[in-house]
Amino acid sequence: MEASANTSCSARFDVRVHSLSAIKKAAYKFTHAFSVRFETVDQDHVIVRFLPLQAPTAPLDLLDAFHNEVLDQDLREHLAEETKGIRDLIIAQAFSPISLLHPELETEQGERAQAYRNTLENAPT
Amino acid sequence: MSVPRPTGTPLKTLPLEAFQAPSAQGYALLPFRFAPIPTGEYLLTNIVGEYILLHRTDLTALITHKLPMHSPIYDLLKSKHFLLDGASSVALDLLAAKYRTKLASLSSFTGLHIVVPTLRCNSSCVYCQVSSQSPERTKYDMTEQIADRVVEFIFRSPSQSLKVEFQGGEPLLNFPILQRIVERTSQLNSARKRDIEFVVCTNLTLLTQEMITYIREHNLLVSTSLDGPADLHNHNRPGRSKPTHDTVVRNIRMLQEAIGLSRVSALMTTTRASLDQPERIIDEYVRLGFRSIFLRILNPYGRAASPDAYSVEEWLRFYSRALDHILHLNYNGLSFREEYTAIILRKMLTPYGTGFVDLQSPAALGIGVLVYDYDGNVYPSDESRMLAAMGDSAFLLGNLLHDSYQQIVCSDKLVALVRDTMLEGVPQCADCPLLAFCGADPVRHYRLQGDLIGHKPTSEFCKKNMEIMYGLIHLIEHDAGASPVLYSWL
Repeated sequence: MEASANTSCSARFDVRVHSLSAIKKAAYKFTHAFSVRFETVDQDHVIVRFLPLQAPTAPLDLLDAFHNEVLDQDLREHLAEETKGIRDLIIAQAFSPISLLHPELETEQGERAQAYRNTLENAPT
Repeated sequence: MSVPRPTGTPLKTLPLEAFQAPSAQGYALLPFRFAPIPTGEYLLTNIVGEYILLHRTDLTALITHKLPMHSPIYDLLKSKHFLLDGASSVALDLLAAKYRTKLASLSSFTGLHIVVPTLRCNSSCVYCQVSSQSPERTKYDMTEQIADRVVEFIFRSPSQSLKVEFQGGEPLLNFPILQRIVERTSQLNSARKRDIEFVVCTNLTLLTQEMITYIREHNLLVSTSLDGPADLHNHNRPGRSKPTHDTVVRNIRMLQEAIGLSRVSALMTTTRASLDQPERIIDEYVRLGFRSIFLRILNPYGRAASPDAYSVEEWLRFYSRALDHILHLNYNGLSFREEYTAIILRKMLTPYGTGFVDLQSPAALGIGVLVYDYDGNVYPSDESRMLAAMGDSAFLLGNLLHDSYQQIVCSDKLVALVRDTMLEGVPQCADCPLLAFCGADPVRHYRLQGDLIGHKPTSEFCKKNMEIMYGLIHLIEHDAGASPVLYSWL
């Protein structure tokens, strides 16, 4: 983590610890005040550099906030991965005329519902 | 005729495992969004907008499956459908039903139809957004031929509930066309049996006794503009020849007497002159018998896009003072509410959606509202009509005289607008816990940022709604005085 008073600051990340997409999403939130540059150090490391667009800011505060946001984005990716299938199922159920959650209760169309549910569960993520 | 049950078909009941105690194997997460809020807590909202505040340590424990089962936080998260345990799928059933309820308006399609009988107006409002024309320029009036096509289009919408709203210009300047549309619509509806509501949005300065009689006999609602006490109203909304406040107030009272308090509403527009006097504006509404107010920020169209506009931060300070004053009126026994706040509260605290155009995902463009301009042009929102009056017809869908209903509502342009304005796919919105309460407002983003989706970190719309919504959650959760008042606005 580097900061120069009232100008730019940067943070170095190991992409084996935090995904690059999490780092990018976190950086996007700061684009109201900074121009953000990504630099590749090697296969496993990137540097994120923040250049203030207007008034100078407190660089260490920024970097603290950025690191917290990267951690939040990590949690969001974890959550999204675990809940993707169930989210799709809830939304499909919301607009389905037959029960996808309990196809066995559908006396006439159960097989169709079960097949649809299988498709959802086996869909590539 | 009932179909006999085939032999061996299962009974319509859940298997025994569905009623057993939760498994000791832990819990599964249900989809939700989260973000830190100004108090330092984290706001979590699930797929249907139920919310909870947590400290970060509890949030991390929840997502990493380290939250102790059956602790108070665990039980709260389970009751609000943030996690799932056991074999029962009741939570999924409930979430699906609530999700469907929230989006019910999508299936009914266009419910709001805005008609512009004329672009002429007798006012010279400092913030006029519609580029109105002077009263003598009758070429800006809607013709009977176009009016009849408007009625045809309205009935093409599959929605059972239809609201026909007359905007302007000043619609009373072309009252015969307004009457024609009301009467033809009502006549056709005797066979079609839709639920139809008519609203006249008027400055009220041209109201006559005959018009009041017509409004009463045809059950029209009236929405007017009142910017506050006389000095402020006359500054913001001068007539072309004399001040308007006295006339507006007199006619509000006459209408209230004729059709009832609840059928006359008003909204205000905030100008720079309004910013330091929210209390006076609200007190004027109270004095005139209104029990609500809609605090409206300037829209960046027409004359409102002037250098005299103000920042969203200035408006938020105005809103905060106004809300504080309204809450104190309620503490003192007067039931009075702010309408924009009430719309957000309904989205936050009830299972129902609202029809409010600005807070929809996908945007309500075309699928929630259609606008029929005086010349037959059709737009997917009032703001896109305002933009066209400034010379940018980017959102124009077609014309009533040349295009069919199908050509307009199935146009590639409208389909693309709907597809591109689903917040679930918009950078930053996709992760925002306020998504369930918020909307896309693509025309404003297009106008201010040159892009339908917009750049959310610098979006004024985003800043405004985040501050209002986080502020309301804070009041609901941490202010024992304000909370019951806000619940009473649902």
